[in-house]
Amino acid sequence: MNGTSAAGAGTYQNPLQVPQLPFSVDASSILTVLFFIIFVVWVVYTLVAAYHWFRYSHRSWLAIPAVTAYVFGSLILIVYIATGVS
Amino acid sequence: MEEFELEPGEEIVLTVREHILVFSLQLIPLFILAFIPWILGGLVSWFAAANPAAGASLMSLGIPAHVWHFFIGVWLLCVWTAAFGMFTRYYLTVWVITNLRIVDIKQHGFFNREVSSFMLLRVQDVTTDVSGLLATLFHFGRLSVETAGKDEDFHMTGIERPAAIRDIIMGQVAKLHTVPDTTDGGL
Repeated sequence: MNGTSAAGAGTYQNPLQVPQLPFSVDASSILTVLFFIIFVVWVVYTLVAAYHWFRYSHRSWLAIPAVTAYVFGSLILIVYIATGVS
Repeated sequence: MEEFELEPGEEIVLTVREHILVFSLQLIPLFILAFIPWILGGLVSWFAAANPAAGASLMSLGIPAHVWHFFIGVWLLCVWTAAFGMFTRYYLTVWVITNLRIVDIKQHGFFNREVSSFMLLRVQDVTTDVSGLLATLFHFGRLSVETAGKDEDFHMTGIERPAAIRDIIMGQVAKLHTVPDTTDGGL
């Protein structure tokens, strides 16, 4: 067993060390891609939610204010997220 | 009405939802979740102050402030969206009481909706249950309707003024039973 350990000593790597990628990745480009994915998911979710409100709220007066408030609040947060991308 | 058509002579008497307080109480976990980034930040600061070596290791990670900014924004957007989803489920889950029937509409989630109705003439028993301090103070509770010929028990929890709604339902049932049957009047 000692011989095996001695033979492997030259190729020892720290298991906690993050392996190097063969290409370089820019953190801001990852954030940009993530931002667009999140934005697309949000748009789809908003369309689905708005569809449910206008289809099933039985012409309630609350449908437009509720969807508007959600979109307005979301846009504020999306702008906040966008400022973190750069 | 898109989901159910009112019969000739049928009119909506009442629309019933959960009490707004019940919905507000369901929002408390989301409210706490919204503050998680700041709670975690405080804990990390406290930990770093208590253990300078560990604090130095954390600082050496070198994550830029704008990246934290980004993820905090995403977290808040998720919490906000979850809250809106809960409000949508709250608002679209409703009992529509007409002078002929009760329509039970349950919005379980997006594209997951259950609509059932039962005639008031089949109602045998209406039970209300108000239990607990908040329920008693704010007048909300459970209302169950037992119908003839069906094992299923129609119920709604956390609705406002269950006793008043029970009286309205029983009043409508009584009206239906006192209306003279004219279908065979000419024979």
